[in-house]
Amino acid sequence: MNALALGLAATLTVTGLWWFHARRSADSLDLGLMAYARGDYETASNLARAAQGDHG
Amino acid sequence: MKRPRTWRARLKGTTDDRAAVRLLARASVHLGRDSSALLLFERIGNRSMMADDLYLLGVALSRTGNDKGSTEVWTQGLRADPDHPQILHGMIKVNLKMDRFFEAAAEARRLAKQPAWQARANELLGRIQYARNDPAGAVEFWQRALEHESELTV
Repeated sequence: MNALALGLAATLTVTGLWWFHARRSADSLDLGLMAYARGDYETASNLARAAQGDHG
Repeated sequence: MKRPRTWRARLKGTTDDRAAVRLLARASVHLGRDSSALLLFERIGNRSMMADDLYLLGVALSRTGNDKGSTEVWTQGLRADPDHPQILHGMIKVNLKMDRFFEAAAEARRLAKQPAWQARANELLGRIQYARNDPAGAVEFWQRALEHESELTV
């Protein structure tokens, strides 16, 4: 029973972290696109990097 | 918060990660970070490049001294979008510089069909006519350009 509870808690934690990361990336991308559209390329660049999770 | 759907649709690739790379590549060209932009466009891949990407890639290539590469990607961009105004504008200047007046004039006439670009197209048509030793024709186009003077300052 304890193992099942631990497994469930771990799954929920991983899913939550993944969702949080995905949400944050999507928000950064949207804000970056808006910055690009208004000609603020430095901000757009920074937000694009954030949306990539600094993989770029 | 309202999303900029047009820009998002134009910039979005198959994944948000690709959209982020595309955004970073485009912003990098505007910021003059050409070598970074070239690497980023390489990551996007030729098959996923949109006309706007090809225009900016051409700008970066030209600024890094690769005029031939720039012309090639703009030609590719015009195949994707034959009326892309920035690419047409760039190609007219390239063709004018190379004394390819026929091609330059054809592109300028196509550009002139777009209301927001009429003044710039007529200014270039004037330059083409002047280079063709037709000063009277050039003046006619420049007068037309002045009629749309407000567009030139945009």
